[in-house]
Amino acid sequence: MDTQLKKGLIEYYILANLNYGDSYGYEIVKTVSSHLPITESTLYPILKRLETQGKVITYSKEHNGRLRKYYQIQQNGLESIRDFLESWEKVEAIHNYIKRSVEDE
Amino acid sequence: MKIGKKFVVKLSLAFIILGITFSFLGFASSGFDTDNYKTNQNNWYRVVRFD
Amino acid sequence: MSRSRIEFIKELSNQLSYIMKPNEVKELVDYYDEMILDLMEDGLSEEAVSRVDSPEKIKESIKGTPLEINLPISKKFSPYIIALLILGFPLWGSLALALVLVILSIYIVIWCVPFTTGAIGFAGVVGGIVSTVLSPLALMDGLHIGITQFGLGLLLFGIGLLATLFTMSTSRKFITFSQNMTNHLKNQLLFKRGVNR
Repeated sequence: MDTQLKKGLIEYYILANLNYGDSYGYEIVKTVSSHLPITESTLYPILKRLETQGKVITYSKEHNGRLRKYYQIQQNGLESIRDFLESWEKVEAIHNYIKRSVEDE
Repeated sequence: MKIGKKFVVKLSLAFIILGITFSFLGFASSGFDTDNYKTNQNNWYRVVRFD
Repeated sequence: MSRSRIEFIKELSNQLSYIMKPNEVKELVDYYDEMILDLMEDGLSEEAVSRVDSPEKIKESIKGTPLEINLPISKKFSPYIIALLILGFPLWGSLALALVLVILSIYIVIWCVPFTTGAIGFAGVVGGIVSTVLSPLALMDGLHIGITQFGLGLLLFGIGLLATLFTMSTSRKFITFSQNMTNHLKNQLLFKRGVNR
């Protein structure tokens, strides 16, 4: 898949991941990287942006004698997922257009 | 042509020294008397005047 | 060679402290520390640090992303503070006004010098030329008068030239100085705001 396309999908993948349940940095990287290319360094700015946009909130929970930062999805984030899904029709239309250009050859 | 800063400084200093000399000469030739400047001193072209 | 976790954290905070605010550095370092600890827990005890990017690389990737601007609007003021601010206005309002006036007066004092020399320069050059040009007319009133006017004209012109030169060569310094001062003031105000959040 095109890297640009993947980059655009990561944000929604993370939001969806959090919608399945609260998660922390390492787990998010592991889950996302099974489908999309992501590293610790690329995840951080995305999480930070989602946090400032109010799409996720963070809280700390103890784990093995240290604190772990958990991310929780917010209403805002859920709406963002819905918007993405609704825009799929447009994506399909574009997909069809691109597809036809090859078929007509 | 670019005029250097030093040149302008020298030029203006030369003007100042020359100006002081001429003023002194002029004032000396009046006999160091301000009363000798009274003639026509209110004419428009006069810069030196003593009221 | 693999870095130890502590070394990594030290190095990272060192690198970032030049380009980010302390609280942002802490947040980022905490994030990577948590990552490394989770990697270690996952069984990568030795390679955990080498799995994440090097501090230099992290710094480079941060440089590219714009820093967020924390607008003070998002701050939540408690009603007590607002009440205190309103009630205390006569006090802090006048203090703030005094500060503004002090800053303004500093600017005025700074610009007084080039303004004065500029004015002297202009008046000197124009007056000198006029005086010198008109000296032949004054010569008709008497030789000594003409010579005096001519001499004074030269003197004025020289002083004016010198003052103009001084103004021109120093005004650039004055401009940069006031720019620096403005930037300094701006930075201080913005920085304070950023820390207080």
